[in-house]
Amino acid sequence: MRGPALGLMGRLEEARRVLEERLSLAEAANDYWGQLSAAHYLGKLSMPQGDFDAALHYHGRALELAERLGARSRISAETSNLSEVLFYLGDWARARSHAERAVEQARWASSGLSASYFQYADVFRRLGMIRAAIGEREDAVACFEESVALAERIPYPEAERSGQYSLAEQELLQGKPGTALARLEPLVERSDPEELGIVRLLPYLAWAYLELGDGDRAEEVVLEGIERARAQGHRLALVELLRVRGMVLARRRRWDVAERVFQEAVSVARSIRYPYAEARALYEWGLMYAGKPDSRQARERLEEASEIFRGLGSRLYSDLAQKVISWPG
Amino acid sequence: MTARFDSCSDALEQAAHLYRDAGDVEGEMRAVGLLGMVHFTYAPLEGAQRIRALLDRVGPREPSMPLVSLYSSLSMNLTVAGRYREALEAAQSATEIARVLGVSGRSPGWRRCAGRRWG
Repeated sequence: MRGPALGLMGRLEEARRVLEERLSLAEAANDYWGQLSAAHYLGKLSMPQGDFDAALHYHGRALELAERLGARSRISAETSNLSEVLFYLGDWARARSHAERAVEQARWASSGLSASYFQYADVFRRLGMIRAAIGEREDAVACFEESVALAERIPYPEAERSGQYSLAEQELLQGKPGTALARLEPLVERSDPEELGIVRLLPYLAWAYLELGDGDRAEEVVLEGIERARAQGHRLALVELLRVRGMVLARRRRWDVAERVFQEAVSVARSIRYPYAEARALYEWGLMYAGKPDSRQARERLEEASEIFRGLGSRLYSDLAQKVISWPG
Repeated sequence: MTARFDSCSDALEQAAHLYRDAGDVEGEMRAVGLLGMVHFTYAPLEGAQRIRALLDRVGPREPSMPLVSLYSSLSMNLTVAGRYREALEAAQSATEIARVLGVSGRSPGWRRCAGRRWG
């Protein structure tokens, strides 16, 4: 049990070594449940590192083991884990089909205590994440709220944080930074800063400060987040933090530094093959130029972003990018 | 394992009471360890509290496999509940006891049974 605790405390490499050893021992002992548990956590810890091939491999294996054991709640959980990896890799059609199947399994196979199975909180959130990215905001929010309610009831803080930052992101996109801030601040304040889950809250916290006009606090939070994400090897958080840092710098008219930061955000997103993050960084990068006299660079970045959004099926961002491109001048 | 948590929980509660009434501490530790593996899936704080209460009641004990299972189960409950440092301490206790027993790296008994049954 050392592996999961180490990983969730942000010690990803150490956790990975422990879990790989655990998996080998479980294989040698024909301990299928031990193999399932180790494969699950190896997949879960590969995701923040941006190692999506490993995440697909381990969650795929965990699903096979869950099916072999007839572990119904685990079948739903691992199907949902696969949906998250497919989402990052840009295969949204399969991601959606996996996420919907996982939610169906969670609902029809569960009653009594098993309806409160802790991983269902993530199962509901993942379907919400895909719906939100596609542009089905209301359905997405309902999924996030269901996820948070279950996570709070258990309590399962890791899933609660993920659900809360997902809701905060929707509030930020809706122009409600105060609501997002009120949601995020207590979560950050009551947590150990070293924990793996905290760093993913920070881009949204910084974004909320930025929209509320507190650029200094936004920069402070985002820089702290970048430092932590680099130290943990948390590339999934890093790519979001770099995008938000670029937004902060652009708002403060520090164009040259912002340019380098957006460039790094795009480069990290490409290196881990996360096209949605790449397109969102390009979109914000384009917006930075949109307010300047020569908008050629704005058009280039926004068209590049728009093409990726269209390919993925993100109606929300595709429409936003098109709107800016069609502005005069 | 097949997510029939209600009937599983009832059976294990009953087993824990029977062992306790019979004064079989190791049996009770095995039952509560298994109960913890059900608890962590829907009520991890309750599971951790239950295991800690038993550990407090039985006091310091000779290393044994039921004790390894109990600490492993405690660690799992604390992990889900977000108490990672405490979870790590419980996992370390389980590992140290297993080393003393010379079974470091072996799975707790319930997992070995599962492997045989579904293998």
